[in-house]
Amino acid sequence: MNGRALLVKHRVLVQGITGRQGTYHTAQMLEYGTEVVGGVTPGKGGRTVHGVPVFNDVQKAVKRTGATASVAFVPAANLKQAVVEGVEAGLEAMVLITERTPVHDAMHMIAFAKRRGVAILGPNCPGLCLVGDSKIGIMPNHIFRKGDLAIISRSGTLTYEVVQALSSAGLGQNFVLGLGGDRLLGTDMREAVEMVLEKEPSGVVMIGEIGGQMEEEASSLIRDLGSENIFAYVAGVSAPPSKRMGHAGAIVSRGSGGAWEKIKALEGSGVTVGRSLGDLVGLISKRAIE
Amino acid sequence: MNLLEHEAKNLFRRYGISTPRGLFYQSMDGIASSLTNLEFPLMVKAQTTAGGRGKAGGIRTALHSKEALDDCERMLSMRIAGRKVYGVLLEEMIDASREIYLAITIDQRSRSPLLLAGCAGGMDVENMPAHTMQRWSLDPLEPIPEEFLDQAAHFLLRGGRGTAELRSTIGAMWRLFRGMDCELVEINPLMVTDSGKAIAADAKVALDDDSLFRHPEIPDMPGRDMTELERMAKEKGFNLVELPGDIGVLANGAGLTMAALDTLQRYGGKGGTFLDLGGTDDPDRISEALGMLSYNMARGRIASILVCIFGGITRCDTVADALLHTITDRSVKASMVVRLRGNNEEEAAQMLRLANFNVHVDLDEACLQAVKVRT
Repeated sequence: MNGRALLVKHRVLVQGITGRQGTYHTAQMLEYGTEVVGGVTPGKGGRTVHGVPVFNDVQKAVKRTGATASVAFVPAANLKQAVVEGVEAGLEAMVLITERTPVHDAMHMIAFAKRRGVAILGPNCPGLCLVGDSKIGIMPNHIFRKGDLAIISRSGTLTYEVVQALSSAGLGQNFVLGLGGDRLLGTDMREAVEMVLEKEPSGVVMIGEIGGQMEEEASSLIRDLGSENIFAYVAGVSAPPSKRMGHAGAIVSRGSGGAWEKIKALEGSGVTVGRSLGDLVGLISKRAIE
Repeated sequence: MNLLEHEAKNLFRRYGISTPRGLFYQSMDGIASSLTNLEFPLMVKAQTTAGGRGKAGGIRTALHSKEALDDCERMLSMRIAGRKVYGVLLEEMIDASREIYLAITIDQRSRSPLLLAGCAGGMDVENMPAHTMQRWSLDPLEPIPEEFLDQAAHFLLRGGRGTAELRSTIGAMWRLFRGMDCELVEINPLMVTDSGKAIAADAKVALDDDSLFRHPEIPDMPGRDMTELERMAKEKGFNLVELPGDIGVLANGAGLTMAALDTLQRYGGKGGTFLDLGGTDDPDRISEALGMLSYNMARGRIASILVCIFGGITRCDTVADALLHTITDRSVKASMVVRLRGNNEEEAAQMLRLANFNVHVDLDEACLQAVKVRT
């Protein structure tokens, strides 16, 4: 599976590095210890941002810096082109922060990346952290604590909430993956669960939400594998049908995608589901003590 | 965004899908005089984005002018599932030998378009027996393979007439799906006549909201099924959803906002306004967001406000600052609960406590309080 390329350390390129977000998060990633080797903004080649050289195009940047992954902060209208360029330049993994990507562009770029064996995380995601090692994306630096739990989430701030609470409770993490809030994701929940399980974490924490069937699909994988120590929380139990709850992917439609169906599927596969964020962290602590 | 049937049919005709002869009216003006241009019996159809229109009396057959006019008058003043009726579509009836279901939609799991064909068109797609449906996963980077079109025609027509028309209809649906950035193009039913003509009796098109910037010809319609405040928030770049309950929630991030609403429900409360601040550290943006919730409180829509922040990009002290400057009204402050966690949480909590705000770190505790302080 292509997604495995997400779980290794990379030399990172920042696409859209001269924008406000790109500049800020370049500094944050450097502070965390990520090897940010270059940036791309068409027309702004030759500058530097926090000491990182800026190039006019991805091809040249990859050639000069040996970058193996990128993180994209480009406007939604340009994301498809940015991904095509990254794939063609030979990157192994791409993390897409951009929100509000046209859904047909998402289909196109995910299919294109898949054809060439490139791993995609996002769009509309907070990125990923190999805790204590490197971070690609926008997750806050101070929340992590080194350990061996894997966190997989469809929501940015809920990831931070849960990671911080786990860290305060002395429960460290190894891999933290923010999949994104869009309908179509480069790496979905089932794929993410499959690849982190290969790393044999002490436990996996899934943070899901209403919309789609991703949690159900991950459940059937977990049931087939008979995996233990899987925990989950699903946001949106109180969400009414046909209302899009902030995320493009967060909508209960045509009687499918509701939170209770997901909770039932997860519990039916032996996953321990917390009914609130507090419950979730409590349940994980309790299991860790046992 | 779901288009109305008559809007979807305009797109159908532009892309080469046949539709019945018909006329659309927003009011009774001019209906009577133009009825002579159409041949009875007519279908009279309420134009709304709500589902279940047929069962709610929004689709009727009219045999003569009087019936048609009565139906129009009735439909123009009705609401279906709480939604407005935007007009009536009068169409000539089609005499068909087959009714077919066709759709192109997006499959989340494969991240690809999906072509659906059913030989029992005309009923709710959820109720169609499995053996009457076939599906083909399409490659978003390629045209529809010819063999899929052959298979669909064979499955739907069983050797009957209309193969060329059916293939051309599917081809047009695909061009429309791609050309207009659709989430769904659905025809239910597609009428196939004795002579083999294929005519779309109904039309459903859902456009992707995030692609509308590429389609300036589509007028400002995403706001159609929104409330006034939802529309205002959208213009300002906020995600606001009005819900039936009486507690307003301002949080950063859609997931956290949903989690807060869920937790409120756990303690017997119900969310009334959902506002996702997104990732901002601009105090003016936060003030603007608070203003929208205060407005809903002032007009009695919500009885308390929960501010629920995880400080990452949005720093807790920035939020505290915005609160201190925006919430000066004592009664608003008294029915407000603030929950802050993350970057600079202690400093922010200190600032707010000095100004008599009800501040918490624990989400459950904050939600319980937000239920209690309702006025």
